[in-house]
Amino acid sequence: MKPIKNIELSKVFDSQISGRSAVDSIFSSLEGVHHLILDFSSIQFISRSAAHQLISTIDLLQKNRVTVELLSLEPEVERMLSKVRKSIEKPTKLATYVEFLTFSSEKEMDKFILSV
Amino acid sequence: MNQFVSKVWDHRIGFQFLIIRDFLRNVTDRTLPIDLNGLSFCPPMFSLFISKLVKDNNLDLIVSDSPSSYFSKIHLGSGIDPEIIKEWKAYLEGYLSKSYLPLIRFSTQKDTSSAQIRNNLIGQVGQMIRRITGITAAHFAGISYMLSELSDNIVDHSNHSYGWISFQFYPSESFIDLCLGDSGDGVLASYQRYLGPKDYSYVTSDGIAIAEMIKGESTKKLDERGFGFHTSREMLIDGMGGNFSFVSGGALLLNYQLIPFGADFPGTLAHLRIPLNSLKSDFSVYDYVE
Repeated sequence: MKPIKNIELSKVFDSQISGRSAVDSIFSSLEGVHHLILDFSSIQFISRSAAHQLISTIDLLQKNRVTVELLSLEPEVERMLSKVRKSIEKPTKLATYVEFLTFSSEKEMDKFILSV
Repeated sequence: MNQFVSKVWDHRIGFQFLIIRDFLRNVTDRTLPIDLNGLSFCPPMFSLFISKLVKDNNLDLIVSDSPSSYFSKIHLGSGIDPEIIKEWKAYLEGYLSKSYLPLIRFSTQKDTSSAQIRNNLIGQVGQMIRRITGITAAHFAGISYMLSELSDNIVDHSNHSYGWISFQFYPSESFIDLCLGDSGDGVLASYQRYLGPKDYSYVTSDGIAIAEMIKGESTKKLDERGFGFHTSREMLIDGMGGNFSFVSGGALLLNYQLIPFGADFPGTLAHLRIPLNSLKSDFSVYDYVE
């Protein structure tokens, strides 16, 4: 295995990276690799969970002395990665409001459900 | 036979949930065929519910099934599975002139090949929705976000081999219905299965389980997880003026309210209603990413 590995993500993913396992699939077969280059050309979107998985995996690799370089990041991808990186440093969950409702009868409950 | 009596469909989300609830209550034997004769259309919430019930439990489905029928076009009862239909991308392209997509049945396997196929499938579904509805790039990013996060939840937590997606665009009424679901163990079981250091012994009902999921209490190892569900909800309700509904087991979430469902819903189902007339021009996904 060559010490530098270059992966063009557009050869694997169409235009977006959507899930954690999709990110994991990028990092298979890294034996002997000292420096990994991920080319994000044509990748227009990355989901939050995928961004989190990517950052977490890169951090783990860095601890194991494998450096990772990200190339050609679209602004949207860069923005998501930046948001998630900041969240990792200070995780805050905001929009978590939920209200439990109870009803005196099923008729009353059905009326509520039908109002939606 | 578990017969479904013909209904005049109502766009109200609550109406559709009550139809499913009453169907579940009236099912006499869950191994019997499901009879939908007399129906020529059903909304994506119901088509996803019936299809996952049929396909994931090997039940028989009886429908009026001519090749040109709506039910044939959406592959009611089976969905399209990209691991079986290899030319799935070209197949989906054939729906560009339609206002709907076929039901999508995606694998939750995490091997490299399955993960990459699923990734591209989710992406293609989003692209098809964008092209069918003509939504802007910003709103497409929102739909991509919700599709990605909610499908990833199914992959990570359902404990089932497949998840489902259904989609219908109503051009006259100008809204989209997008549903994701699975035939897994449900949210409560996900907490009950947990063997890690956190104490989830207080999660004893479907309602509490959904509430904890909204709060971001994750059953996965990494601490900084549990953001996808509640941010998707907020993005849809506050960002897009839509409705976010979710049912699992005996609990139903309607936007911010949790109520008893009144029946035991197998697995999960998320329903996203996106009104297109009231989409804000300054919407940004990043206003909702936490």
